[in-house]
Amino acid sequence: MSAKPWSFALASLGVVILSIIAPFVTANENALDPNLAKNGSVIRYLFTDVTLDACRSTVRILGDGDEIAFGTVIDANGSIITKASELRGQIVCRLKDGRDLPAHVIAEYQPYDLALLQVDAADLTPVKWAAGDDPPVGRWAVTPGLHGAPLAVGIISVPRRAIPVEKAVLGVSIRDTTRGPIVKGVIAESGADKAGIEAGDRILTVAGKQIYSSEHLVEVVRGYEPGTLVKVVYERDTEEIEIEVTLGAPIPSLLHPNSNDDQIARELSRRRADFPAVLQHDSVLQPENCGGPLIDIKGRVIGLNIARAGRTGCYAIPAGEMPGIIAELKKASHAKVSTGVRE
Amino acid sequence: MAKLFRIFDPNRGHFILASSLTIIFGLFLVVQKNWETSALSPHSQPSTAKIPSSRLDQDSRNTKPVAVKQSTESKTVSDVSPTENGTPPQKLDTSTSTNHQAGSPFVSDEVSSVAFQRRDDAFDDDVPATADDLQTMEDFIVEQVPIALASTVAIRASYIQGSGVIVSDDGFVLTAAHVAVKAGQKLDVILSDQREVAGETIFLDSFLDIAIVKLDGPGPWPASPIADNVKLAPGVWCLATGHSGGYFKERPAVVRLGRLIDIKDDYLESDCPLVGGDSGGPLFDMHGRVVGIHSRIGPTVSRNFHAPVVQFKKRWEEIVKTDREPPTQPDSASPPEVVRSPASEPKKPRALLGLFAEDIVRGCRVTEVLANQPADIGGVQLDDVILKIDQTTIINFSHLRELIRKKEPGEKVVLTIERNEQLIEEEVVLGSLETSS
Repeated sequence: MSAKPWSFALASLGVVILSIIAPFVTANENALDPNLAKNGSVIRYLFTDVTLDACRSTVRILGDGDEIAFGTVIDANGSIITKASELRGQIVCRLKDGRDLPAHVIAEYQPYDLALLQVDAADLTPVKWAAGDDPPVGRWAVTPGLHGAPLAVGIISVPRRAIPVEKAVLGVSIRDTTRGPIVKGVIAESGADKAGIEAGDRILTVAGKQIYSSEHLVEVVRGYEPGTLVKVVYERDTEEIEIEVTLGAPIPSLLHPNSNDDQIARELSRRRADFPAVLQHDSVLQPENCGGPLIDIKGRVIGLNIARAGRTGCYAIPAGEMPGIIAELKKASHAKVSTGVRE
Repeated sequence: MAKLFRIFDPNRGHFILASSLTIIFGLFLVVQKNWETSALSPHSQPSTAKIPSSRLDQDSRNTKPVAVKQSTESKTVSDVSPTENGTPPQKLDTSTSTNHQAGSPFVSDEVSSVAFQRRDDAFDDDVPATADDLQTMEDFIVEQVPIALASTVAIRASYIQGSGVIVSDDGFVLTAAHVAVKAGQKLDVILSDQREVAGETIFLDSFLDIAIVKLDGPGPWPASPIADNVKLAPGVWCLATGHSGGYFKERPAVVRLGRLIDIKDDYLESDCPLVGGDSGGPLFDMHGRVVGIHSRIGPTVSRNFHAPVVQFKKRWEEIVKTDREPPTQPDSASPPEVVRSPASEPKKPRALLGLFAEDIVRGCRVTEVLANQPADIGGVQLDDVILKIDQTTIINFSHLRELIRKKEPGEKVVLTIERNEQLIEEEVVLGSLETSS
């Protein structure tokens, strides 16, 4: 019987050792230590002090106990803004000091997909939005968590621009290959499915436009309203086939034809288009990590992360837009409260 | 990779020995690393040296076209045209005393100035080590971005859309071979200032996945130099630009930061996030020199592959020299007469394997085995993952084809294949591909 604790100890030791050596076994010995990669722990650790102020104004948003977003504190009296389209279930704000406070949605601002939450607190640290111009491309763009090293570090990738509406979908997932975009899967009951498009078909043109990549396909298709009939030319077994497809409305769970694989598709935000102005940065955030502040190397809050938009980047609302947006949210909340509508 | 295979090694005795040694070494490394990390910030030297150079205005979105003019002594960057808002042309004299030959975009890594040595240090393996280093890096990156963007182009050819980079002011563009399609291919090249220019593929190296495109017109074109004689090592910081997901008029090329993860003779791996449309775009080192061309997307967002431009230097010189000689008539609107490509080499019967495959993380997966052809006869099956040929690791299907092309019909090759999670070897006698048609 005395062998039992021993075997347990050995087994747990084994697990610990395996988890430690796993990176060493699978990695090329000449390759860079993953901890030293751009988003490795060593590099992110260097930003810890920079994030301290912003951490105090960051909250974790839980929906029915799951982490669904970050939130940004905008005043001491319990006003918190977050990404509206990620909210679901019983909303709780988890503060840096460990408190879990139930939250009510008291207003929404559709153009930027923001929600205003109210929690019962009077001692919160509001965020200070950076004044002045947008940061230029190349500046550090850091996403703090609640504690310690930031979640992700990157740089500003694209200056401020508007992101057009994502209007219609074809209903296919695409794999980009050196031969062009190949259909990887067809969403059941979608326009593509009804028209007979199958996995393995190579999309040549949509609505007369040559299609170069999965993202290009999305760009072309989104120029149309759902319900539009468009001509699609595809290649199957070296034969070119022309058909007409009725474009559909985006279905959130199936919406990601511009992804390179299903795993990445699941990692994109549900709402990631139709914003009046965003900065793009090259951090790779999970959807549940949007909604909090984005800071620069001086710790100034340069924006609010609003979407993981694609494989390579995220969108943030520029700090300069925030005072106006917050004013809109507060106005909407007063209107609601005064008519007795809450939650 | 070698270690990965060791897991499959049937010789368990060696595996256990190797893994126990690895455990001990791993623990040692972890302990040492933690110790180093905690010691890192207080003891590393603060970056006090200031950078004695004027900088491009960091303030506004300064992505207007700039040309990089090279002389044998220094490189000077200036605005080609005054910007719309009337900003006076700014000059940036980096005086790096780069040692490069006239007419060649290759610049070598000789850095003499002590002040610049410090700037180099900000991108060594062991740094950034402090928040000051991060600030130094940022200054450097913000300064490089407008120049990097000015030389980045979008390329359209038939069904493919990709990116490229202008590497000489007389209009030579590097891109990926899979973007440039084939020698003689006419292409649309869209410059950073939205000008559309005709181009033509004059050379492809499908093994490295690099191609040269010549722009139609005298220029001068906004160019970035190619790195020459640069020692690349894992940990080197780099910038990636490219038209992610295709060219959009309202969006300049997308800039990303990353580090080199791994360096091989035939590819570079970095953690700069890439996506379709970036193919052919440039990977710059922190001195704005092109070190790689985006080639393939890796298994995760933070693993992507670039063709190593440094390996390409010798061929570049041959090709560009011969292409520069004809313009005795100054306005040579006619395309180069001689198109150099592997395809135009003297015809001889080519070796045939007889399968099609798609690229996956390592090697390629067989999607079609031609009936009664060598691969079929040799026992290759659908969904086999081909990892090696004659002990040479396969990067992708075009790499495999390139290697087969170098063989003779009738030659025997050994394919290392992963099938049902087992490593097997199949011997295949290559057939002959009729090229006379």
